[in-house]
Amino acid sequence: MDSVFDELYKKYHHDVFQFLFYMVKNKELAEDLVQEVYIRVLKSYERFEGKSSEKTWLFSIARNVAIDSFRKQKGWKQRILEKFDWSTQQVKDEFPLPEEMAMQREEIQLIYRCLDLCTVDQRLVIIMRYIHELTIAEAADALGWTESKVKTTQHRALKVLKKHMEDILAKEGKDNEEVGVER
Amino acid sequence: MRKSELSDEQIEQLLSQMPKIKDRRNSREIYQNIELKLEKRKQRTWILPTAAAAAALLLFFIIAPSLMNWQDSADKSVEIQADQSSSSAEIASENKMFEANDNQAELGLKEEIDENTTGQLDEASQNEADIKSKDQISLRSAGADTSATAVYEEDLAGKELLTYAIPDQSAQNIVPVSVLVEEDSAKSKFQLFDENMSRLTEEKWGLLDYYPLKAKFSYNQENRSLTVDVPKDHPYSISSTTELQLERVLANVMGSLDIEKINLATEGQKGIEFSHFGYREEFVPETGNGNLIYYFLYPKGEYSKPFMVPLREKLNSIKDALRAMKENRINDNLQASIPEDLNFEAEELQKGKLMIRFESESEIVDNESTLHAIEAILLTAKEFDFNTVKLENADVDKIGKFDLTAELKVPVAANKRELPIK
Repeated sequence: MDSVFDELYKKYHHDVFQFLFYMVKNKELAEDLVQEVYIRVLKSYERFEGKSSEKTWLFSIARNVAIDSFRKQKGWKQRILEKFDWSTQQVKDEFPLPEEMAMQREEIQLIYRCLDLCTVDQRLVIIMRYIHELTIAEAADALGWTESKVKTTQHRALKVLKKHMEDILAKEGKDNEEVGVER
Repeated sequence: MRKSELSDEQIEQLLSQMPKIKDRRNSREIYQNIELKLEKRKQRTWILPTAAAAAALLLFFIIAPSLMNWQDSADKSVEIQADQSSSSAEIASENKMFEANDNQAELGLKEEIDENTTGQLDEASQNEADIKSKDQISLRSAGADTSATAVYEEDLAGKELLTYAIPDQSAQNIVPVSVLVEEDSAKSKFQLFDENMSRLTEEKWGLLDYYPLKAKFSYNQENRSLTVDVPKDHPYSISSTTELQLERVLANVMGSLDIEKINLATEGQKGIEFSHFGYREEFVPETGNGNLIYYFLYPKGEYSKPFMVPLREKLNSIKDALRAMKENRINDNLQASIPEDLNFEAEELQKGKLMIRFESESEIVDNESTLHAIEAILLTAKEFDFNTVKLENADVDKIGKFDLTAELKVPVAANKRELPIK
């Protein structure tokens, strides 16, 4: 087996896979994409200059792979949407909740759903910063952004999440109350 | 129920509590997958060209046999004929172009006058031939002597034969043109040659206006030497072509007048300064190797009377020569003098006697083109030192003036043309 692959797998495989999973929210797709990341990495490994850390370099590649996948997905999704306009709702819930998530608390599941409501950039920052616990500098490096852009994006993302969480919680609370009244 | 007020910290906390998601595959499995893809991508770079090459090869193998079959089929002869005639037409039209370029009006006028005053058979037949299509010509019997182009023994009675080497209009070939003049006991052959030089109608014949030469000739009977004295502004050293032309013309003059040496002079001074060959005092002809074989030159289009133009070729035998004469000489602007479909066996019977036996499938018709082909064969046979040629197994007994039942004598000279009446 390729020694480079072996090393990268040991060090980063789970990080990369998890990152991709939270980006696309589909295990099968994440499996394919992680392979694509390895292919790109192995092809350009000689060109890796060490300007950034291996980790952020891998994250930047994973991010590109994820964005490319969104573009592709959008393509065939839109084509389908053109034909079945009524299916919009179904497409949204197309991916099943993974086991690991299903076992979590309600709030966690809720915030997981709310990730969908962020923009791609916001989601990237949230996943890198809070799930993978990259520093601001590492995230900026992986994304090719300035640190201030990371900060503002992060700030907005939290705001979006908070707003939607509150909205949904309030709604659910209401529902619960109504149910309670009926009871 | 929870308060619907969430702090950033709470959300951050929730996010950090998100479960770890693990890939259920092991590294080997993943590596196998990406290895497959890596190889696939590498393969792609050569798969397409290879597939294209294979397809092209396949196509070639499919088409090649059918192409070959098609060529081998009965169409072959038709095709070759078409090919031949098209190249003939090419050459003919090229010649016509030269003609057209050369002051057409003057030529037309000349022709008209000549026709009225001389009414020569030669000219008449040429015009006739111009109008008639090839098919009509082949149907028509050559009949009269007029279609023969060469000079034969019987023509010489009481006449002196003068042969002039005249370049064709494209200056590619030297055409030996023979004229017959009345014998004059008071004059030598050289004198007659010198006198009649100015009477040649080269342009009317479709050749280059070359005579009279811009030089004074003086002939020394004793040592059979000729002095060529050119003026200072002579036109013969303009280019290497003109110099070569002069050389070839002088060589021909030497041959026909039996001259041993030519001295060169410029306005009485010894020698001529040529721009390309340099200073020369005398002219020594190059004795070329090989034999002369005759081809057709059609300066006035395909249907006119051809000139027989000799080319020097290194050939082992008359058989090789006759084979070579079947091929067009596109580079020299000359055409095959024996039709491709005229097949025969040549055999030397005894010293100076050639026998040509036509193959039975060859159609021998009494027409002008057959006549000209026979003349070309006779002239070439002469160059191979044959005196007579016997034609056998022809479908007819007579072609033009030739009686095929008898041995044919080789001609005295090629390309007989008439001089305008004084």
